[in-house]
Amino acid sequence: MYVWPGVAAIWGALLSGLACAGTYFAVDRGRRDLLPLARALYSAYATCVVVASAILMTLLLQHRFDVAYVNSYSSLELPFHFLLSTFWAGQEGSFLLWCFWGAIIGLFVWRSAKEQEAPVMIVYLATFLGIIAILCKQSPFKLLPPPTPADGVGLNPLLQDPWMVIHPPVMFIGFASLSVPFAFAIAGLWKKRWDGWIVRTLPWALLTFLTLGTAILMGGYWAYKTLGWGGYWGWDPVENTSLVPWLFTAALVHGMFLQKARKRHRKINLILACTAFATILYGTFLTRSGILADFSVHSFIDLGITGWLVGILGSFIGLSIVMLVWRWRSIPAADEEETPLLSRSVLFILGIAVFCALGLVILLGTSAPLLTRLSGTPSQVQTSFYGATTTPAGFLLLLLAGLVAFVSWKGATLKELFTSSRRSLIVGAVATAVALGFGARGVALVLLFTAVFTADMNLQAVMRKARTGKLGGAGGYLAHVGVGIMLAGVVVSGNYARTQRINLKVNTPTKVGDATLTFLRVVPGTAERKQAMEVRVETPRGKSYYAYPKMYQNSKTGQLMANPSIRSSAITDLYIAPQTGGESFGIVLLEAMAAGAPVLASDLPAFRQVLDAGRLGELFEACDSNQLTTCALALLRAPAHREKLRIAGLEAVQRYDWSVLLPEILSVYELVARR
Amino acid sequence: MKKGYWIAAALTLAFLGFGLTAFQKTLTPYLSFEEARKSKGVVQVMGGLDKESDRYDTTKEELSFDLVDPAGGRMPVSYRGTKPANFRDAISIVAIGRFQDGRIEAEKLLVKCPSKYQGAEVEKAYSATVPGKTS
Repeated sequence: MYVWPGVAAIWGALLSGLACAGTYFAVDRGRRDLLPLARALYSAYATCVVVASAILMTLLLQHRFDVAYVNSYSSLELPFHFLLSTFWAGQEGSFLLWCFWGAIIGLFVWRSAKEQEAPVMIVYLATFLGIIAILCKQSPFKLLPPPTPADGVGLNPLLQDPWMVIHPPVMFIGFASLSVPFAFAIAGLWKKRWDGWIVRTLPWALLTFLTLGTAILMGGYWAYKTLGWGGYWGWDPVENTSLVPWLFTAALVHGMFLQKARKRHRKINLILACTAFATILYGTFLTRSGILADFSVHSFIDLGITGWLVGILGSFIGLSIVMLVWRWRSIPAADEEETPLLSRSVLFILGIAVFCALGLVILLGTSAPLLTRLSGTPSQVQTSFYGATTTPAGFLLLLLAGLVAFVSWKGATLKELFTSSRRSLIVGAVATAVALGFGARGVALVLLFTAVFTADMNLQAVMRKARTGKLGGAGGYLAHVGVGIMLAGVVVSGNYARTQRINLKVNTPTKVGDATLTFLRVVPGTAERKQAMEVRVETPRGKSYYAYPKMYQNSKTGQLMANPSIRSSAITDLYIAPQTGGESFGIVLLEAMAAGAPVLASDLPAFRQVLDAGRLGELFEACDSNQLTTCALALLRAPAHREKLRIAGLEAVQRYDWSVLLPEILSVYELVARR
Repeated sequence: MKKGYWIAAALTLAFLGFGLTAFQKTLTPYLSFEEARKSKGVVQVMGGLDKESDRYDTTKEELSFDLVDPAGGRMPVSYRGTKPANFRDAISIVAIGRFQDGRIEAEKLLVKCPSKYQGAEVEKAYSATVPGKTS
């Protein structure tokens, strides 16, 4: 009985968390003497969450397959780093990971909150206690009834990628640290503290901005490399629900810088801190409640926590609205700032507006199935919706980021702006002319020009800071340089990628684009390497190399997996993605083997797998009738070999006999029945 | 500064308005097979794959298959493009496209597969124990 400490730790976290919030409330009512107790209770809460996480990780590493979670997501064959990632492969584990980061971050929050400690910690704890309560109901420590399975079901092969080991932890740091600005904003409204919270929570908002952004990029790279989509972004709800909080965090970070510099615009940041946090909760609700199950490539299945999620979402949105309305008139408005229209304050406000508007529009698209369900037939927007809306918003954001490099708080005249941006206009024009030469047309040119212009404007601002020795103030500019370069890349790769579908016949060179591809053979898989196709690629400059796009059947799930081969150079990628063409398993072969017939089959990946790379039956090159004839004749002339194949086949097919399969199927039914 | 706020508000409203128009323009309803047969525009239908029905024409590079719904309805679908990975392991398939010549000419296929989310283990376990079920 080694799971009870885990269950105890989660319940311990819930109880000590509630006790801690209660004690902090007493502290706030004047019982200052209780402060050490409140802190001790927080430490107890954090310890419980960390211990629960440590226990789950230990169970996974020790292959305790009688624990339902361990059985569902891990297996004996997984190497250590994938075993680590099974922790967050399921709902319960990823909720626990979220709370884990929250518990750690909280240890820093109480130290930095100073006189605001009690109200801030009450709100901060509240943001996690709802999730802890879900974990009490839907425990990751549930046991399976005996018998203990010998091996687990295993990790989804699509998630068996190094990027998926680090993507979720980085993502959840961002989720957890966004609780800090939210807690300070609510506490500020409660206690009428309007300015100090900006300085204290800016680092946490920046942490979310950085980690969510990084996680989104990692997820995109994973999609490009592993899913074989040929792209890195598909506007799937799962992706959108990470992008929208990032957009609102971007708005918040800009708002905080604005308030810090101008001591104004307090209302904006209070609203933004609440909205950004609400988008995370809303995204969690959309992706984890099963509500979008029919609209996403990802499979969301209702775990029975929808009510809880709606409750958490509703109470935090309600709390935010109530607090804002209650205090709205007390929020002091600074004197009217006298700035010209072309000033940094106005650019910031406009930027924040565009971030929020874009975030809302993406949220609208993602929520389409929900909204339309209210009024009739559930509908979904096409992905063209996102392209149409993000293009103008992206253009505006780029333009503002470019101008902000030279427009100061005091403002600038149009003439000054033109003089200082002359160089960047020229650089942008040159880049655009080059793109025009390569055949670029239309909106892409405008976007490319703006992206390059913005990158160069901000690069100059960074250089200016560097010359005056004030590199500390160059962070924002440097970030804008990066944004400009990245969006230039997005525009180019989005508009000028070329895709071609071809059938490669064995040993027949085929020209694809500039390169010549020759399919040589299928390299059988080994324990370390997956089955792959060997393709020789000859580049136009006469060089050649071998590409190995992989196609194999996952031994656990039977899914046919295709991994592209990607050859990256400075400005282009050659992306070779194999496609499934035919049989995904090959029961025909098993039937033949069971009937005691020697088998001769075409050399498809699936058949090769069933025939154990030729041990259980002969293989011939698919679509090659000559080879089929030769092989068939050879087999007919070799009775001894035929007999050998026949016996090996009969033996191998036992694996699929009802006497073996039936108990396995029954165990699945039992698994289902228990749920 | 007030002017700045007004411009920001106008910009936001204009953009939201633009977003709403784009929203209505690209909205694709989820229809039953019967409704899909009558509709003119882009629709989406969902159903299970009839595993006897799928054919891939390598010369035309065209995938064709039948979707079946729980009521026993049947809808032929054609898709010019590469066969999605895990096509045959799908729990259900969503086809987005127009109804023409007695079938849905799909522009896009969504293949719903057992994924990282909860509940998936049942399907995964099932396909792991019965490897022949997909063939």
